[in-house]
Amino acid sequence: MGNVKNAAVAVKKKNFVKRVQKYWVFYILAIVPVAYLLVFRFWPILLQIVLSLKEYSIKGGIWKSEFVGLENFKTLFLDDDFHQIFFNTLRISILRLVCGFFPPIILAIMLFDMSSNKFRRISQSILYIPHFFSWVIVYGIVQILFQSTGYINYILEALGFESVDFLMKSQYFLPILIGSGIWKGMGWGTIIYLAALTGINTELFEAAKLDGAGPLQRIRYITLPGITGVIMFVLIMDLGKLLSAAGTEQILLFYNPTNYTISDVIGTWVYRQGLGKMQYSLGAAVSFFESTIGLILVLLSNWLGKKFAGVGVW
Amino acid sequence: MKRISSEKTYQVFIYLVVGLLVVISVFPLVYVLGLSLTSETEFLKRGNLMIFPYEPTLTGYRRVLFATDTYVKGLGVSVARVIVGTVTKMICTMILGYMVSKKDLPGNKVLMGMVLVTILYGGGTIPTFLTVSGLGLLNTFWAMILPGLVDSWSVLVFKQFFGNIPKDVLESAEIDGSSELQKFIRIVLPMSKPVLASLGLFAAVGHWNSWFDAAIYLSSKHELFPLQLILRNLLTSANLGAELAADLVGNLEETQTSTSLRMVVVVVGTVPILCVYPFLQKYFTAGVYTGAVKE
Repeated sequence: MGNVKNAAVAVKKKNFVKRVQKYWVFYILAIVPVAYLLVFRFWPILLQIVLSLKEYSIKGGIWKSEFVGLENFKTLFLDDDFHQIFFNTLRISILRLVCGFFPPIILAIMLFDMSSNKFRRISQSILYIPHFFSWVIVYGIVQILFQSTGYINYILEALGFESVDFLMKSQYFLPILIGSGIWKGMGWGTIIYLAALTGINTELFEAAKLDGAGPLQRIRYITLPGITGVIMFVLIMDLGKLLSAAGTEQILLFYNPTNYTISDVIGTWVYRQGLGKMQYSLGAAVSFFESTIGLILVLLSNWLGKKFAGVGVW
Repeated sequence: MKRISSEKTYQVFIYLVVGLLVVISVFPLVYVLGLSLTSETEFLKRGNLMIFPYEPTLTGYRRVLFATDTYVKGLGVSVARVIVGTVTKMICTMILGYMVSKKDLPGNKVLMGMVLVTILYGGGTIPTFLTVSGLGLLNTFWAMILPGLVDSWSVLVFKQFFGNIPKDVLESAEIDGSSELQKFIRIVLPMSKPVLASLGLFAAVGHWNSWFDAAIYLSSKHELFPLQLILRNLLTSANLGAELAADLVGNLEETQTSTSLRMVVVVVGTVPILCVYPFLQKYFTAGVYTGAVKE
């Protein structure tokens, strides 16, 4: 028995060497990307843990600064500001998820059901465009539409209303932030659904029409069941991103000191207070907290999806 | 009878809603373009309520492109980072994607594990900043390229695509004795045109659009600022537009509002994307990750 086993191991080993030889060029090609992953992705993870357990000082640098254990986390969890930014992050993310989830699905179904192929193609081309604009450009557009002398206010005044300084009043911050997010992402969001819709057997639609099913019945019994898998997939992805979906880059552009109480999120706080004021340890502790919760959320939603809907991210 | 009318109502409804959304998508762009072509005299005379000026003028463009070299330099940096960044990112990402798609490649699981870790867990802004700083990359061009060298999601898309290439296509090459690298270059690469075009476009747009990394890593190196960061600084500092205008108005007869000047920069920052867009549109779907949907 032992001989057979040894022989099998030997064959496997020989096979292994052979396979390594077969792909040797690729191992050389992989040096740069693998070095990149180690240096720019894995090393910061280690740094993050070390930093969050220390009291960073410029003199000591990362390694010689004083070890303080969980002191940074204690400071954070007792800090009212941190409660506020954590709550803001959650609120913005959830609002984005809830408001942004359905429009692409509905739009995709409408595009799919359009009777004219030509008009559908033109509409798609135009609706995808905003996705490719940077947040800077989107902010530029938002400014000229919503500023006190902007287009919206000229219309309001022309209609006899008073003008409103949308960008400086905090109650308009969230609607503008989330609305412009939907404006940018809605058309692009339809792509994944349209790909799934074209996979549905067209005979089903023909048969349904012959049976006298109206448009709403077709959507309910054929279209929606045909894309349930993809809808679940997108939902899982969104749930996994719950904390990171607040959108640091967009908020950094859109917010200003008049609305920090609702607009400051983990990402913007780390940028302004952590990086800007060199509170590296506290900043690292915050992002450690964020990354860890994000990890748990992704694993959880992926597990839920596999268990209940048969879809997973990997 | 009833069925036909409900079909018709539904179609009318669809066309109205989609048409409205198309207008909402396009209108801001037309308005921005209009403002960028408006002179101040006309702007003041007509108020803001206009879509397109009666007498379009290129003064604003002349001023942004020729009266100062800030924007032209920024444009150059942006173009450079798009080219260098996209090429390096595509090469590195594709190598990893191909390797993890090869089931008989020793170590493919380790690589896949590494890629998944980077998707699941981030090192955070500050540790990444300290890494970039420790490598002496602060205030260099490479600070915009290296920290994002590999896109982990694109690795998964490549894996998905390469995994779907029929085996017999590759086996036929094995018979005439090509090496793995030859197979990759002669067979796999030409087949990957759609994914490559799609992911390459996303990477290029990503580089063109980013400003955050430049803001963090290039704080004291203004001549390396990409266009988007210059535009962001222009938009967020309320009086900078006026200051710039005052700076430049002297030798130009017609003055232009700072609003239209800002809009000129917005247009300059947008046009390159709109130019490549139509050619690559047919490849979009190829680059969208659909994950492991069980049949």
